[in-house]
Amino acid sequence: MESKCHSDVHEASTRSGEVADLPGVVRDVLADAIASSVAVPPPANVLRAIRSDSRAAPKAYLDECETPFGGE
Amino acid sequence: MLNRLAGLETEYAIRYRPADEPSRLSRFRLYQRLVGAVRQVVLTVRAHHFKEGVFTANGGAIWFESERPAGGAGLIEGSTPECRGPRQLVAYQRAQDRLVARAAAAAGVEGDFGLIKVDRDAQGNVFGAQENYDVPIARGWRLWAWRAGLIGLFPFVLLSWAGFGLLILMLLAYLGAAGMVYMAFRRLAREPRALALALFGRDLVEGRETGAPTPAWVESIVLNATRVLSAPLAIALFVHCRLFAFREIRRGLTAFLASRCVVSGSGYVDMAGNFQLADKAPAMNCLVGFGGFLRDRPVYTMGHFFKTLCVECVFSPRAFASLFAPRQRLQIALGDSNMCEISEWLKVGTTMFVLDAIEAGVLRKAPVLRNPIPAFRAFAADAGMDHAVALRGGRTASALDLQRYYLDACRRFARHHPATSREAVDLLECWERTLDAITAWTSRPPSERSSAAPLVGVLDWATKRYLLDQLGDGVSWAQRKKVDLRYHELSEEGYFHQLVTAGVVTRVVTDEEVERAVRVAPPDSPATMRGHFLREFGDAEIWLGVNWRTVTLGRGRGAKVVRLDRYHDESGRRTTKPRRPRRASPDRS
Repeated sequence: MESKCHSDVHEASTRSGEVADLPGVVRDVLADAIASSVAVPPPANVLRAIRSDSRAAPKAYLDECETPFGGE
Repeated sequence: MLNRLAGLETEYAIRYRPADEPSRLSRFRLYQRLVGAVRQVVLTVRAHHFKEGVFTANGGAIWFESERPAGGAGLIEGSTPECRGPRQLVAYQRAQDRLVARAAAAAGVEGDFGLIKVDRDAQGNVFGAQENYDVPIARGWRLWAWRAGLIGLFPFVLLSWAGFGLLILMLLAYLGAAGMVYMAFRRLAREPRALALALFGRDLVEGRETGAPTPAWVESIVLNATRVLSAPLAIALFVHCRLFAFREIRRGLTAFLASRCVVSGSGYVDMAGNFQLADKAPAMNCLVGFGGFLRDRPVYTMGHFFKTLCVECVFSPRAFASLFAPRQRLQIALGDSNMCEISEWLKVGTTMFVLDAIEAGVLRKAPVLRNPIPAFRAFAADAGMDHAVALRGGRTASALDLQRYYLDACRRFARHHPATSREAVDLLECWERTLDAITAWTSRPPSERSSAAPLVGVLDWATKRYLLDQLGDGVSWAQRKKVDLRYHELSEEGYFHQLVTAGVVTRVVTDEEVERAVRVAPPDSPATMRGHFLREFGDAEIWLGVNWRTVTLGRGRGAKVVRLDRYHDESGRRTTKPRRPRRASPDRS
């Protein structure tokens, strides 16, 4: 029964173009990424931009993000 | 295998800086602007639910979540449609993130307005992600005990309803008295509008929905009175859930969940500036609870049973009957809000795998933590991943040891399972490779660990730690915390988004799959029918009432109700075709 169900789901998914199994290309990228110690080092300019932005009024940013839910 | 219904709920923090203080919008107004922008992208229908929200064309929903809206509190929550399979679930989660991010950018709010997919803010408010899995609530005599207990709880339910009825009468009496006070003193008051707001709240004074139906002080009294009135039911239900709900699942799953942070933790800079693997786990203070009833933050939330008994049963006896079903929704409030798709895929995929193994009875000898809550916190705080906690039976194990145990058990289970899917094989391989990479990293000398964190762009905690390490020494807590939060910001300025743009993040789903998931419901799920009716009738003249259980077409005696749990036909073979609706009966929800 379970096998049948899965088969149905898989067929339905594939038919409708919905999410199917992991594409081969993603699998290969994943294997490479995990095999190396640092998957792909972020470019220096991106790191520089993040570092610079993190220095810009961090306290104000934290205050802007305060989100009370009311149940605390 | 990996075929159960599952869904994710995500509470997004709101980042808001008005252009100027007088133009500041309430959180409810921000929600309304956001939903208005969502409507420009997909069809929506207002939820037929006790909570403010809308369902979207893909069968998912967007909510305004608040316990004290009049007090200014509130956040925006997204719920994915009910999905099957981890990868499908990741696609729908990404679709939801993309939809709300675009809507926030297009909402026309003056100033800065955006959403942050994170589990807590810098002030210590905790919210975030929840997972839902369809599992057996109990088996054998425990299932019958669960059902018998539900009947035994009914007097407590009636007691609560009687209390709520009395509370409503008192509120009406208050409104009458407040009206007389207002009439008597409005000429004497220096600011009659302020007096009206204090007595009646914004909704009545402004004559429109503002998210604040009562004054804040009345809201506070009503909230506390509700807690007192429902306390007998809450206590009885809590004991009942502890004894019978998901016991087999909880026994096999808890050690797995405690150790899961090594692959699915999103990283967290705590109040002392230390880096932790996960941000939600340190906030957990009990295994079973209702989630906020008495400041409890449980790993396993039973709040949906409580809400069903307290609220939904009033309108629908069928809601009460649904609690007798052998399969129920297991709600896990532990998971972090993931940005990396691999982290999210592993989080839900490995959990589904372990649930499959528990249901199949192959994890009866799974390790049991001696002190679960301290173990959750210890593993989350153990960024070096070498701390071992005590297990029942005298042994000890680290988080990596426990993950290896569950990986091996799932591998054995998959080997002997007649329906092992391709995704299951991929998942096991990814899980093993990830644990191998972490083990290799932890075996390095501590001095070499920080400069070369493994799995950047693959796991959230590793990616965030890498970014924090790039800041260098002598950095303030606020700056580190900004990196912690802005990593999760759903905008082009968000740090994770910048890494995606730079091409350093490993993807699990394609952009085409995510775009499709924004508009189309998943197949073989209650969401399939919900999405179908929403797309068919969402912009029609007929009134459409949508919730998680039913779709109602029209109002009054001629209304027709479609039950969404009947998305499979009598032969047991599931179908994506909606059934013909039946006439409304008095028990419609």
